Amino acid sequence: MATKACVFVQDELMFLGDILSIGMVKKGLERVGSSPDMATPKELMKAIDVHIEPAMVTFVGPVKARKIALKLKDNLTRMGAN
Amino acid sequence: MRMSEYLKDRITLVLVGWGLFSALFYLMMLAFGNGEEWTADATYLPYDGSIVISFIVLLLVVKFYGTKAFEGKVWSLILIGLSLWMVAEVIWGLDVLLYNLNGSAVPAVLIDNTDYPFLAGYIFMALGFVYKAFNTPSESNLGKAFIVFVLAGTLLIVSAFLVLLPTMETSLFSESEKFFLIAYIVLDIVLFGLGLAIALYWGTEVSKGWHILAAGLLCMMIADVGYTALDLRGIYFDGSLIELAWVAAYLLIGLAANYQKKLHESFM
Repeated sequence: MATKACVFVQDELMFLGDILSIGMVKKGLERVGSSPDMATPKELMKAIDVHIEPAMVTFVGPVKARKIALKLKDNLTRMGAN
Repeated sequence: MRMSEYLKDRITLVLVGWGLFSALFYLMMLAFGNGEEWTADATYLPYDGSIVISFIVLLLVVKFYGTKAFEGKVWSLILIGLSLWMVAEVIWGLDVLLYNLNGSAVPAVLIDNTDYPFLAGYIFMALGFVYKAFNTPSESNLGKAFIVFVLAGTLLIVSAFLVLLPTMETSLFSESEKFFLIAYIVLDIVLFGLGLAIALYWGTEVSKGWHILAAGLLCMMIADVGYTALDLRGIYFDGSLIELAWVAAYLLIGLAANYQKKLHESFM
């Protein structure tokens, strides 16, 4: 089962479609050596940097992708990532 | 995603293969057909086949994203546009098929009104592009805007001298025929400009799909301008090589959709 922080990121990316949202987060976490069922907010922040934000650019362009990434990271910081 | 990976994809191979088959078919019919009517009629097979194949590819792409997802909405609108074009194209193809099978024809009410689904198709395509553009904000860039305006403007000026003004002045066409011929070319340029603007503003690295789409719309414009120019001179016939530009346009739309799908699959 995915962690609370992971579900939060997946939900925020649902506008891309459920399959893509879950798949992108999973691959991003894999790239930082984690997985949805054990992802910490800190690992999710790394996953956003290395995979999720570059992927989002191909959907909504760099400006909106940056905005969404910053919003996600801001919330993840509040969840305990530092 | 690397271009070499994309070119190895099965759907890509089908689309490219159909394009090559179509080009060969048209050339063979022209070279060995001796101008017989059946050879011109036979070209409807690769011609209509190209839009039907692209329609199927777009259906798969929309299924992949889902109609509620952002990218899914964009491709759904483009799919509706392409479907309307396909309906019009298939009506013409069916008419030829029925004529060759038993001498009958598609009802006049259908064959005489195919311009309407064509025009409606442009509207849905444009809606898809505008939806994409509005949801893909980008910093304003005068250089890129200049390129779009110069390219679209040049195409408009060339088209104006080549076909738009002669079409307005000729007595060969009825007023409604003139309206549709001019509308197609103007809409081609508008769609091409929109597609190119999205491709440029979005950045070269991630928007190859939109570059392919813009190339498809350029082919569509070349086909419409070429057809009108030949028709104005009374030398257009079914099976003309200019029709390959339409074939290319339809296949490039399918290739663009498939590129976006493959690109996004690579992030999963």
